[in-house]
Amino acid sequence: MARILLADDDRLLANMLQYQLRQHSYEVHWVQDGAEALELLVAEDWDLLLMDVMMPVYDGFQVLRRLRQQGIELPVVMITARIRERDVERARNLGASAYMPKPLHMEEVLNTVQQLVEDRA
Amino acid sequence: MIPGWLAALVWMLLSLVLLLLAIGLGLRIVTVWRERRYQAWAQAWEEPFFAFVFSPGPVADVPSIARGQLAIWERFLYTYMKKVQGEERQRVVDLASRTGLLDRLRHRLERGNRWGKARAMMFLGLGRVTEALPAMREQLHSPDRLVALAAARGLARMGDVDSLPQLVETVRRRSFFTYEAISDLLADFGNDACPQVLRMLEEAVPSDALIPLSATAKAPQDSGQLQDGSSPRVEDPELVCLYVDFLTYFRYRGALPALVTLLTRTDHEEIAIHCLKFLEQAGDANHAHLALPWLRHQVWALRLHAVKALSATAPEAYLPEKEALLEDPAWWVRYRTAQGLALAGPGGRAVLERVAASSAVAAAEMAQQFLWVPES
Repeated sequence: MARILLADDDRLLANMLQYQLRQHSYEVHWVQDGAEALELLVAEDWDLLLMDVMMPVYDGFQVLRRLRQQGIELPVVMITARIRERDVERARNLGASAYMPKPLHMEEVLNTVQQLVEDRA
Repeated sequence: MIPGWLAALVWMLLSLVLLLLAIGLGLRIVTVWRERRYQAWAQAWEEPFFAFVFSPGPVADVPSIARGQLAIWERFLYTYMKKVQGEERQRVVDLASRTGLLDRLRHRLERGNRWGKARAMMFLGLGRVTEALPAMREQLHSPDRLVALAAARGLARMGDVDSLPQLVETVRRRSFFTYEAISDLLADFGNDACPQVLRMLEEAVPSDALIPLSATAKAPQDSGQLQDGSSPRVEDPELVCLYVDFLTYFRYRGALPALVTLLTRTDHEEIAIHCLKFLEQAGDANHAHLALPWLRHQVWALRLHAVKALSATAPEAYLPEKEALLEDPAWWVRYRTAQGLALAGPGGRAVLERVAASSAVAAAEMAQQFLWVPES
């Protein structure tokens, strides 16, 4: 069972994502800020990180940068309401695998997650 | 001995303070109680709600789950509806319909109080319940500011692009719809509205303002004036700026021919600034030269936006023009010019190095600051 770390301070969205991912047999662990996400990413093995951009403590970009600096090559899906081109480019430059705008289209999220997890396997 | 009137006054004041405290405490208790009640219901509803929205096939008992709790149910559905889109949002609306909530909202839209109407329109708009369109259009003319604003927002969320011209016309007649409020409203329509907004822009400017100039007239020294030496007069510059802002926000490249032409023909400073912003966001190297005439404009804000557009569209070109701007009297113009040069590769950095070593104090200081910026 693939392990997904979900980092998002929006409880409602996190609830939806967790429900959907668990329905598709993923093991999901939810954290609410960037620092907590980083801590878990370093301490445990994950198959994918699904992360909001705007989060307390460290934002998504900071988490991604630190993650890559530590040599952790994990597929990262960024979810965000910030759809400016420069943000998408910044995420891409930092090594994000996908960038999904809010409001989410759950089926699209699931397909992306499934694809990335399969590629990693 | 305290005089009787003073004792009475103290008692009155104390009673008043106690009463206010009691009211505050009471309100707080009610708020907390309502929130807890909402959370309890929300927790109970989440599982069947998710099952209905995300799993194919209907769930038989869903309509019964909200029975008797429609007020909480409305808040619950609205909160989640904002998080999803497309088919999933449609299923939330379907759920609202099955549980009788849509009927209740439509009824409230007709006969509810101002807050009820406003909430109903936000819900119906977000859910794109087109049956509510006529009633919402009517509410747009309400003398009540809250109701009119909610109607406008609801209509925008509905994404009814055909009603956009009428909506803009109506809201601009109401003084409480500020420029920012109308901008937000337009943004709610989403990028599907870009072609319609472009058509509205074309109607808002005189036809001669959008006639493309000849190839020779596109030279940087072109003044943008008509043959008789005048520039096309725009009746409502604020409206034009509003439309250009919208097209810039969505980077609608379909508007590029019209807006670059408008930029070359207008003498209205505000319109030119908005067109330059568009050029910065959506233009490319082929259009960079259109910013050049504005580099020499007497208004520093125009020079600023011109250099930003130039740096974005042609970062490595027009280096002599940019070098000259490093001596601009306006700090912001020097700052943006140097910033653009610092990110413009070896050519740009060479300019900064040369200027940094020169005797032009203000230019040299700015250039030195940006030589610290990493190249990539």
